[in-house]
Amino acid sequence: MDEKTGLGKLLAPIEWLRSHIAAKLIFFGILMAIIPLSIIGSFVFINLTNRFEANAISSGFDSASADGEAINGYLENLQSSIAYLGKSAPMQGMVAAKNNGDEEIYALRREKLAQEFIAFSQENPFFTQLRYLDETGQEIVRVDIKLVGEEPIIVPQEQLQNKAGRYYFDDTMKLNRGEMLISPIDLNREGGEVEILPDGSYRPVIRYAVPIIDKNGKRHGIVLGNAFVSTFLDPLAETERATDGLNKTFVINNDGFYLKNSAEPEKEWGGSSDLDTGATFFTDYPQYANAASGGQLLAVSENIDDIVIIVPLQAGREEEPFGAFITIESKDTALATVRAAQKVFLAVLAATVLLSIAIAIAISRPLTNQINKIMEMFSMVGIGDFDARAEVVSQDELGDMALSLNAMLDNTLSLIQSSEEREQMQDSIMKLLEEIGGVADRDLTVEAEVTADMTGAIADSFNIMIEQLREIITDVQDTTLQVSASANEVQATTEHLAIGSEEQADQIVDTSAAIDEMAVSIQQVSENAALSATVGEQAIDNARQGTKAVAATVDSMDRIRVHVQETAKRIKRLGESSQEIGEIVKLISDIADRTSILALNASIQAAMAGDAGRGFAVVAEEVERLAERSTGATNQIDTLIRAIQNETYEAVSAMESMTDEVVAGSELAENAGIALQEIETVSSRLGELIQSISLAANQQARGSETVARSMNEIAEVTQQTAAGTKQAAVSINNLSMLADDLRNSVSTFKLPDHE
Amino acid sequence: MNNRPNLSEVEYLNWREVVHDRCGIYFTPSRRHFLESRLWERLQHRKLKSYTEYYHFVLYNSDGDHEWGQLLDLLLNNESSFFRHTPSFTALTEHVLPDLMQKKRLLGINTFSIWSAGCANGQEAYSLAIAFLETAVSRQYQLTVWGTDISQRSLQTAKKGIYKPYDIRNMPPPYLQKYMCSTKAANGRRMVYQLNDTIQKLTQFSALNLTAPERYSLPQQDVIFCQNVLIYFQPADRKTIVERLCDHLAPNGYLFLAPAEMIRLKIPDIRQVKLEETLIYQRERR
Ligand SMILES: C[S@@+](CC[C@H](N)C(=O)[O-])C[C@H]1O[C@@H](n2cnc3c(N)ncnc32)[C@H](O)[C@@H]1O
Repeated sequence: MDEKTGLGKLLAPIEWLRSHIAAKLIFFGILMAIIPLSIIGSFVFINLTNRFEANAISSGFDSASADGEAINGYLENLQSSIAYLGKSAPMQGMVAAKNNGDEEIYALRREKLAQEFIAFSQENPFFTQLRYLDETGQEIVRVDIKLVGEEPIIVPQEQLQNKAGRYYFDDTMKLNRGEMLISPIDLNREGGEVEILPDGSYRPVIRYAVPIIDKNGKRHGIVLGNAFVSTFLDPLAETERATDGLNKTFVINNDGFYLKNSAEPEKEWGGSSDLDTGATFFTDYPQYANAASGGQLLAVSENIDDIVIIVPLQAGREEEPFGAFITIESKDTALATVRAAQKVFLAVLAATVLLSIAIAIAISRPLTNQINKIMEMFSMVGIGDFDARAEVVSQDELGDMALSLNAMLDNTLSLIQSSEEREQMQDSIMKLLEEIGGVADRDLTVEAEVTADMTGAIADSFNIMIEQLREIITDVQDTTLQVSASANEVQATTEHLAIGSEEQADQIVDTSAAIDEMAVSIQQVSENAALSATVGEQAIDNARQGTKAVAATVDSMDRIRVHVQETAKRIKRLGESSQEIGEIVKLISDIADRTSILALNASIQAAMAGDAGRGFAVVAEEVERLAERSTGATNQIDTLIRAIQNETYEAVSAMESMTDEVVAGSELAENAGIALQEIETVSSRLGELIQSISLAANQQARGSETVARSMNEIAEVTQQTAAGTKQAAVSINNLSMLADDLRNSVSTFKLPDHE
Repeated sequence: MNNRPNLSEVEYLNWREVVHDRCGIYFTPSRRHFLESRLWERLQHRKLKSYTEYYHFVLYNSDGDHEWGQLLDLLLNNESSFFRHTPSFTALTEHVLPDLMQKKRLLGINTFSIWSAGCANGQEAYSLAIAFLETAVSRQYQLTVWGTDISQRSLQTAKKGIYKPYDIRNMPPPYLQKYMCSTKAANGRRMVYQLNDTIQKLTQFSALNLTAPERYSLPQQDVIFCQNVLIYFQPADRKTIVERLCDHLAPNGYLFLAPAEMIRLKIPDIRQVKLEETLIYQRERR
């Protein structure tokens, strides 16, 4: 190609291509790389951009709607928590207790309700406050959670306040059963001022409240929960999308005021009831205002520069949306990855083309080399040089081909000398194959004849192998027989065991029920005994008091007896002295008698004395009259004394009989005292007895309790054992089946008779 | 089963209250272990983690009522046997039934109503039917034995009238021959005993919670047996139930409790019948 003309230069590569395999290969290599790559490439180019945009929108849509749904989920959770608490058992219990006027149960349920509040605030960490207010607006139960994650606190009674007049209380009290008050989300106010937390942030809250109405329609106040909304709004502004600056995240309410603005946080809470800055989404992004107030889940991207995703927000299930969660992402940033991918793709394409050229060159070179060597060899043989051989320069099929061509030449040369030998060999091989053909049909009785020729060695080693195989198979058959026999046996026993332990389990369950019942009734007896013991003690007390009373009676009777005896003595003495008086009176009357005789004598003497005796006669007359009078008086005294004596006698005898009675009475009382004392000792002994019964029963109860307990455990264990044994039976069954299978599969081998 | 966690104090109190509210059974501290083991069995079955979680499940889950039924069957002790408390049955056949039969004959009444309250697996109800038949030899009566219980599982067993050998341990052999026949169990392994049709036809089983506030939906009874049921309740509940049972006694009707189940009962028109080793009350004729 020394022609240097323009046409020659132009045609030179084509000419070269036509006359060289290598050139053709290279050309093919390049075409093979470029054609599919460019077809796929252009397809990818056209599709990739569209696909990526769609992907960017849908993934943005997915993650934004997931975030929006998360907010909705939190709020729904709050709603259902309050709905539940309004209906919870302790709440209902409080209402019932209140209606029954049962203060003790009321207090107990209030405690329970507080516990329930605690449990809920721990489960649902967004609550900052859970309260129950009664119908007057007085807080009855209040649980505060100062900051998210802190322990909830039950506010002590004395710090509870009356909230009548607050809108949330008054409005909720007007609701019907099943209705709920949900406040708008706004910033918490303390004493009329927006509350600012120590870190400068605000405290946005939402309130949920339900009225408590009993089945008679009577109102019992409200259950109210405040939730701290930042807890789930803040993390939204901190997600990857929001913080890389490419993406803006908003939460707005129906008036367009921001509850969250990741791009311009200072515009948040612009509503008149909050910070009153007047900033709204609708004025900032008028182009999306319509879409945002539509209340639908929406992705907007056509004909505009941004991808806008709008998720409506609801404060609870079946509530009207109160606002929306919105993300705005510019398409440039969303599609940046697509553009980068395009560049990478072009680079890869170029690199592939270059690489394929290089590979084609590298492969073609040794290929043509080897072919050239073969061509050389053939041309030598062509001119009659049978010793010519092709040099092997490559390791591939062409190299192999060269080798076989060489060998073919070698064989062709020796063919003529060894055809006889080969026939002999073929014969003995055929014979050997025939002999050992039975093994393929699992016949292990065959044996190959060991000949002196070359196949003899093969036959020998074949025989050794068969021998070994025979031994192995025999072993396997023996073992599997044994295994399946023993497995059968074990299976039988375990099955038996399973039935046994199932029955046993049943029995133990029965017995443990019986023991449990015994424990309960022994407990009963012990309680009764304890009760009887207190009754017995009362009886002892009574008896003791009785004894005391009797002793007192005996005492006073004794005293009476002594008194009466004393008096009787005195009266007797009186009777005696009145007798003495009677004697004296007799004496006096004697004297009077004698005086009157004397007076008579004197008057006779006086008469005899005549006038001189006249004076004396008057005296004697006087004396006589005196004597008569004293006789009359003494007679009177005598009858009086006689009467006294009679009376004293009667009194004394009456008293005597009385003392007898008193003595008998005090004896009786004493007897009663003794009897009572006996009762006392008997019933105190009885008390001891009952106490010991109660003690014993108690002990027995405790004992049987442990028995019941361990029976219970035994029952559990036995049940498990029963299950376990069953399991074992099943697996042993499996094992024996396996052994049978194995035996079957080896039993098809035919073994010599004597083995 | 030994990795079972302990029932905490709060859990114990909560469960005790719920169980007491729903069926009257009061789990004293001595039976706390029993309660715990049954709760554990059920909550494992439900694949739940804690007693509290299970508590919320039973109280608030839509499946909670069904679960409560399952749990209840485990919590109840349905221990029973035929002719369980011999002195009571002796008093029944030798004193109570002859007395009632005589009075009914004078009045020309032919019907008899007997109630086994808390009948468990039915042994008591069937024993009452047998005892009645054995006493009423000379005359035909129209007898109904009512068996009621709170446990659905027990009622099902009772309705079948089929018993294991253990269950019939107290049954006098002549009665066994006369009123029962033995067969192989459905699983073909063991012997079981079934009551005759004659006996089964006399009985009526239905669910009834003795502690439920509504009036017991049964007619007035000539004899009520309520044995080994009250011991599971608190004294106050026990008293209310006995009063309500007495309300269901027909004139001259008898109430049989087990000895030591009730001390000091004061209800107008109700007197205690003093018979050896028994606790029997009777409504005096008004
Ligand atoms: C230990 S058994 C007694 C059975 C039989 N009365 C006896 O003495 O053999 C107690 C029975 O009372 C039942 N029971 C427990 N509480 C009950 C309630 N509140 N109402 C009705 N039955 C109840 C149980 O289901 C159980 O079957």
